[in-house]
Amino acid sequence: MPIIKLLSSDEEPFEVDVDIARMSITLRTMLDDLGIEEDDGEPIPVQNVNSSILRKVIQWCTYHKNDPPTPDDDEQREKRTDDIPSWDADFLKVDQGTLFEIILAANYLDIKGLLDVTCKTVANMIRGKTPEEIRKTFNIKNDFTPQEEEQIRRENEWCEEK
Amino acid sequence: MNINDILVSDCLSHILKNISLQELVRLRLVCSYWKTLIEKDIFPRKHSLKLFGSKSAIIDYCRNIVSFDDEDINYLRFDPIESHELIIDVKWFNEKFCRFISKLFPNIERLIIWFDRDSPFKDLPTLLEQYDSLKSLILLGNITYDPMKDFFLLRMCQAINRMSPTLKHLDLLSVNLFRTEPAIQTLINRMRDVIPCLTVFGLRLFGYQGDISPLINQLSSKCHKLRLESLRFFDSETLFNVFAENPNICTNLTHLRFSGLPEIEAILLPELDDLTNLTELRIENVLLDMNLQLEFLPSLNRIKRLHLTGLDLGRWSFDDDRFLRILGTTFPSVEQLTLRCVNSIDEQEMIGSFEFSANYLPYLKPKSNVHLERKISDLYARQYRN
Repeated sequence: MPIIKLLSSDEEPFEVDVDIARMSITLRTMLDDLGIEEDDGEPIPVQNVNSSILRKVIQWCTYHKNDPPTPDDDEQREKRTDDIPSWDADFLKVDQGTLFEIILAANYLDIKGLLDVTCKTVANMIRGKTPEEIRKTFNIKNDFTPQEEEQIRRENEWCEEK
Repeated sequence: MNINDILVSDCLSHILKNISLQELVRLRLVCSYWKTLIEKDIFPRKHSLKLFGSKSAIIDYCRNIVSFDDEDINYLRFDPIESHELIIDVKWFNEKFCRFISKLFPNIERLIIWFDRDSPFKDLPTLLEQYDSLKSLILLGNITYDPMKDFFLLRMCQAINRMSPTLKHLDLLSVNLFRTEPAIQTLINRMRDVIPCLTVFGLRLFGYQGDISPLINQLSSKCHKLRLESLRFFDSETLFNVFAENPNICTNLTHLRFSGLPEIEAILLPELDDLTNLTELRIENVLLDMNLQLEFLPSLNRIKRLHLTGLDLGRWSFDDDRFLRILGTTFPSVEQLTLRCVNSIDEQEMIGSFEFSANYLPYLKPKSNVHLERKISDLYARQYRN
């Protein structure tokens, strides 16, 4: 199996199977554009991802390397968040900061499966919570004026009832 | 750690797309950044909207509409609110709400409305007036109005007429919309320009008290889906006349649904086989009389999807040889069979009957038939819920 080297933003090198690296659309495009098929000595810089996160990303890709391709997003399809595989759920039992960094890495590296599962994990942290609870969970400042807040509350009256 | 400072808007959008529409409306209150993201990035991408009066209306929708709408519905979801659904108590359904909804979701092309409570609905036309470029409009459930007092039907027709450049699919399947002849005449007269342009037009006649045959005659060349339900004066002879006197209906109808009509002989008419495009037949709440003579039943070769709901088998049971022979000989081409609320059927009988019935019903092979497999799952799920 051909190997390539990736270099994290804090300059730690990682040896990775080419097939695993190609699960990232960003890396795949880079490898194709540069005509790289295997390690030619020069590591490929992954500028926006530090070593601890890149390690997690490689671990996720290695576990999921034989998964079928993730279907394209369809805005009109039902979204489910109760279908996170148990391995992924365990894998994503990390602190909030790490989870957000994995989301950013998945977004930058364009790994759809990882982005989907991490976003679903955060979505599950949001579901069923009141706006106030969400602000508390994610340290968000309420920047509405009392008048603006009252206006939105009035608009929302019909959907507050269950 | 503020999530808004860490995640780029693309990522936050991706997260929020997993949240139900109902919750997203409320989450506009979190902060101005979320409000803008939801209103400017997520809601404008929505092209489909379903408004329900209650959670139970959603479940009814899942059970009923699937055949009429070809939607891939997940029967087994436990949280019934999906990404295009809003639940609103009818008391909030006023003009202000209609304008608010159309402002939040400006690009809706497909609108489905199902209210299960018998409530006055005078502001529904206001909502339709906001969307003049719908491609698909489906009205279900109970939409009541006072034909003597309000101009509901006229306004509805006007609003639907305004959609005529884009509207292709119109299902008027609400129970109370067309109970009287004047109401139907209003529809036919006022929507003369729209109806011929539709590729799918569905109509439900529920409890209609007039003579149905002339009415069908006027609609038959335009109607693709027809639901005939609880028609008090409907007997097998009337039904025979409807089809015999209206040959046009034969070429257009793709879906036909009977409910609350008399005995099954009134429904399984040889004339049905003249409906050259009819692929789906739903029969609800009828008594299947086992004394009927098999040789008089037609072979309805074109029916691909058969739904039997509320079937009363009398003293016979589901896995009875004779019942299966009726199904097998009358509907030899069925690819999807749905059985709901059939009396004297339990889970064990259902499983056993699949083995037993293989000789008569070659389509009853759950393992190789995904549709059937899902229907069985549905049955189990409902039993579990009940």
